Amino acid sequence: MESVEYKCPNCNADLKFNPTSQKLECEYCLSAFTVDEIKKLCATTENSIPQEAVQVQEDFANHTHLYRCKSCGAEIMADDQLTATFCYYCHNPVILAGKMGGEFKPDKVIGFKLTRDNAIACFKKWVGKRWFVPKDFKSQQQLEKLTGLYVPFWLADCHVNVDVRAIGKKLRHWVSGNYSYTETKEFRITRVGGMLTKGIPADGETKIEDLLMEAIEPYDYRELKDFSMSYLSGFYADKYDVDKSAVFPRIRVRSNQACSAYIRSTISGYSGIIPSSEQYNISNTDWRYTLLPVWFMSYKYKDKIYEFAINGQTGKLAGTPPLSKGRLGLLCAAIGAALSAIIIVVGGGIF
Amino acid sequence: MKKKGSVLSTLIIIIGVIAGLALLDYFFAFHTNSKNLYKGYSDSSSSGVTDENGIFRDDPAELERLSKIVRETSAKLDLNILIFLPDSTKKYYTDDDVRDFTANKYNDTFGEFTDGLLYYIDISGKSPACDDIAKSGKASLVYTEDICQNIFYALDEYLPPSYGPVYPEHITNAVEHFCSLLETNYSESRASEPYYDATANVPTYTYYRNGKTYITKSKPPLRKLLICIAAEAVGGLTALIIFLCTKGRYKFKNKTNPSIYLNNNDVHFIDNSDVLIRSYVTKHRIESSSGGGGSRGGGGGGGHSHGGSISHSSHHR
Repeated sequence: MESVEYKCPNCNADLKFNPTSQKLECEYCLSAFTVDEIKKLCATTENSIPQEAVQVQEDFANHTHLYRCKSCGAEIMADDQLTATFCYYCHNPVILAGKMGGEFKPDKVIGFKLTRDNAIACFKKWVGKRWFVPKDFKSQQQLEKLTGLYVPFWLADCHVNVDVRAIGKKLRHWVSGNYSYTETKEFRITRVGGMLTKGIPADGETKIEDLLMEAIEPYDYRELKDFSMSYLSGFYADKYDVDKSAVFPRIRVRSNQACSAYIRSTISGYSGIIPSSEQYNISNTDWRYTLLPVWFMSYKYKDKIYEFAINGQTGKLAGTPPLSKGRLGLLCAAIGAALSAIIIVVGGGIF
Repeated sequence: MKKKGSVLSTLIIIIGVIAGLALLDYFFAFHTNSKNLYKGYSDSSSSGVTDENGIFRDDPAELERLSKIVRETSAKLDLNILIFLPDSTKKYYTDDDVRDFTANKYNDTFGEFTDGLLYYIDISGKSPACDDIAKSGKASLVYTEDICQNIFYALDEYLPPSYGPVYPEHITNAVEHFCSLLETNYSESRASEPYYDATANVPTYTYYRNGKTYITKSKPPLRKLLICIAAEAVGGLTALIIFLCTKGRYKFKNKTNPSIYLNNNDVHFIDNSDVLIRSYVTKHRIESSSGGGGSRGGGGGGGHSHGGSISHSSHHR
């Protein structure tokens, strides 16, 4: 089920990326290689790692394929050895659509740290608190749908020019004789300067809910690595279908929110604040196209698709749990009926 | 189209549940009644005046005349009526003892669950005196607490004070007026509310339904129906609240605060100032509020000549 395969230099079996050891491991001869090692050893196999950038893009394009799902239209990135069995969005079979262009080669990647078992444990813990999910939602069959997926993200570093002006009022009350006094001091509050919001992520995938991806943030960017196909071994990967200009409005909103919250935190000690002007202008944005690890699962229930995501680095989980209204309704009805019966019996409604 | 079908099926389920509950309520209310213990009224032969006190010892003809009046009233109202004049042995009865005695005396004389009443005129010498009316069957419905109290007040005029001597003419007047009051206050249409006798050995409910009198250990059907409906409303509301609260927990809630993407080190203010631009003071005169105290004159409560207890008892002086 791997989307990208690397051959073991020793036995030629498939190598898989192990999130725990952060190495590519061979299940047969138990060899293990770091990403850097495999870059050197498999230089001929993974042609996407030459030194020249042009060569990199060409090779990436040559060895990477796009699979398109017939049902939902999702595009799934994989190498030329992959035989995908189902779409991780709608669980329908996917077909080979075409090769991926070199412009889709990510700049950075964070490798999976959460193993499949860790992800399942996270999911079980999360779902354990929810009694009224459909029965098969907790089933082993459903857990098998948990898919390790590298989601394309745009990471934006926004240089923001901030210009906030307001009037702040400080009040002091005292009483003297028969009079109550109020002293009002008005201050002109000025906050002008530059701020840099770093690494605001926005997923470049239309098929995944933006809010779902926002909910599993943050990622620890200290673990960002230069992209290598070796990280993809054993996982699915997706290419972006929303470019950075399209995600910029989302980035801008979040950047402004961050700046605004910071500015508010610097204004304190006032009884009241009257804003005069509040401007946040992004002068420049630095972009990084990055693949971030997500354990992803979708569940179809009553014609509605429920998506769940687990941060493949931190284990943070988000999603909307499906509600079995029938089960909940039955329990509520049982409670209501029991309560009614008690009232009827105690109140003498029968006897 | 699918949504329409779903709404329709939900509507059908709701209607079905309501219909089912209605049937269940009907069954509980009207088909789970205990046995009707009501025995009714047979004749006026046992009605009359029982002079245990012996106040009419010297004038048995007057006692017989009074008994005849009572029997006539009994026949007219289809109610057993007994007027009891206790002797001095009951002087030390408590009010509860009096009530127990009248209830038991009625049952011994006419039988349980029959239509009728017993009027206990306390001439035992107990002070304060405790009059009581023990009611049974239809009489419980017709002569409500309010009516009994009114009767006591009305008869107060004819009865002597507790501490004073009792003469036969007091009793004669009281009995004649009592019978008259029973007749004037008789109205079956008044008896819409069931009567609950909690003092009986086995508490019973007395009520009318479809022109018939019932005395049952179980509640009247309409009351049972109301209890069922109220219980279902409480149960339904509880279920709905639980449903909505739980449903609310199955919503997407997480959202990451974007503030985490801004570090203090990445903030460079050119101007970060709070400059005082003006200051002013306002003053307001404090209004003094005067509280209006005022003494409350305590008017003395006038005592009732009948310090009647809540039940059927009453005292005359």
